[in-house]
Amino acid sequence: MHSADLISLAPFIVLILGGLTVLVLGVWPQHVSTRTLATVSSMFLLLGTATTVLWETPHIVNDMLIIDNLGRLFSQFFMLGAIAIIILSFNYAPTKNEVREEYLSLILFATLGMTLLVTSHNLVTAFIGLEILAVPLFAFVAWKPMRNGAIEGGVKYAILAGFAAAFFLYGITLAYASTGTLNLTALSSITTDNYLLIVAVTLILVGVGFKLALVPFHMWAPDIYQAAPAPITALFASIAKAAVLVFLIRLLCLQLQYIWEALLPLLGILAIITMVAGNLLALYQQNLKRLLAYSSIAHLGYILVALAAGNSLGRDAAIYYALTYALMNLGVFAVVAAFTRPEQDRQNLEEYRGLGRRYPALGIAIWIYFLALAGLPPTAGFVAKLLAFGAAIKAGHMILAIIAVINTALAFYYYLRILIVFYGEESTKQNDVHISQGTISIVIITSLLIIGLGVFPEWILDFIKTL
Amino acid sequence: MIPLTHSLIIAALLFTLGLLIILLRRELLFILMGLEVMFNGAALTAIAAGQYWNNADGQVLTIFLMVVTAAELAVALILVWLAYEHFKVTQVDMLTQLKDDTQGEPP
Repeated sequence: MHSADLISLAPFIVLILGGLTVLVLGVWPQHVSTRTLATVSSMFLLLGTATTVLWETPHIVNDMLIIDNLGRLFSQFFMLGAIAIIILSFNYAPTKNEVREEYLSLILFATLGMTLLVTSHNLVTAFIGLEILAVPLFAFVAWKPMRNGAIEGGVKYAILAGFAAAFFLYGITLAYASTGTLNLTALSSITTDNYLLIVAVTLILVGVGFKLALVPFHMWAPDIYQAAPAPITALFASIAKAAVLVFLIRLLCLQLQYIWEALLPLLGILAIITMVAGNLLALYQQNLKRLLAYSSIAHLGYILVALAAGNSLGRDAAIYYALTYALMNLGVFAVVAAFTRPEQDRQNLEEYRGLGRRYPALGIAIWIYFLALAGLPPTAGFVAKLLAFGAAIKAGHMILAIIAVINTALAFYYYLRILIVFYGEESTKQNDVHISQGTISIVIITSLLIIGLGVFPEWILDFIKTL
Repeated sequence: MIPLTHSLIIAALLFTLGLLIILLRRELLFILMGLEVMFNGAALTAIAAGQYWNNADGQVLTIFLMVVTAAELAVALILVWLAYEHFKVTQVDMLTQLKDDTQGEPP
């Protein structure tokens, strides 16, 4: 073990120690307040973010982890995102008094899973990262089991996550059987035409597809989004999906020419059915959380359009889109969490009628998020779509780009419908909602970032190009 | 020594068997068992391949696999037990609280 290895491993060690410390504080003889526990976990996440700055890149730790700038960008993003999730959960009424040491330490461990996944250089590390991320998530879905549908959501997610893990794992073992290595660099140096490896990569893609809710594997997403408490839905929809997406991007960057020749057209077809099905299912949906689930399925379709291009432009576009997508969904679900009723989230769209007028700060933020989701300038959503579809056109996938643009137009209908409801006249006087300062600050930061990345995309694009 | 293809075929059969159990059975516990059979198919592939390539990666992978699936099934079993405790539900079709809501009218 060299000192460089130790520095590279520091964020992981900090996250593990943080999770354990929070657990110990929970069983401390004196009562420790929830505020202290939340502060301690946020401090550990901040410390983890700070230690990633010390990383010397690129560095490979023991053939297991690759420490590079892509991993650093997303690790920092996940840890800061996890702090936002902690703040949202702390102020969230339906799980009040239930956000204690177990919850907070599971958030730290899930963050550990995400960082492992984006820095994995070995399929075993990737599998472990994926599972450390998945197991806390299905505990979270069923948090406070007496909530409406919580148990059902938890059971469904547990079964589907297991199913996805089995496919992913079988893919890994078949890749190992056909090449004798699990290392990603060694895998990409295999140049012979290998039939078993194609099957293996397809199985891995199926596993990843389940996690990303691409269309033939999307059945779980709306149920889980509806059943989970809103802060956890924010975790699912933003940073957890971005982590899996970055792993997919890393996988697609391997130099496996003959495999991608066979599989990129398949990715294009997946992109088309994901976009179309996601948007069509969202059109008549009345439940806001389910509607957002379908919309995030459609967004994954747009990202696949960029990835199916199979060039470096598509890769940059996908990375930019992953960041933007995570920011937009984090913001939207922060607002959903802020508007919660004391018992459970508002479900039907009508229950949100007029809230945008009564709470102007969140109302303006909602505008920004939905304009970004719909892909209108000057938000980052517009630039992301422009880059993604531009990459597809550059690669000669004209039909794919046209279908994507038609889908974007289709999506305007339901996004604008939500905005109309938010700004409509209130039919009945509703009880006041208490909106905490923490939520307000998250909403302000995410909306500023979305506008900032939309107006000055070169801030981050120049950096992404060097990754 | 048994050739690699033989073990791979047996492992593929195990995996398919698990898949069929999940797709055909409706009881929650059977579905979890099906998952376990699928994982075992993967584990058998890893062990056989480790033997064939003469390195320890396959066995390391299998040990990790057993730990991870045990952790996963522990949480899944608690959830299944909760479903029985609160709803007296043992079949996956009977969990129908979460569904699409398309009844409303357009604005």
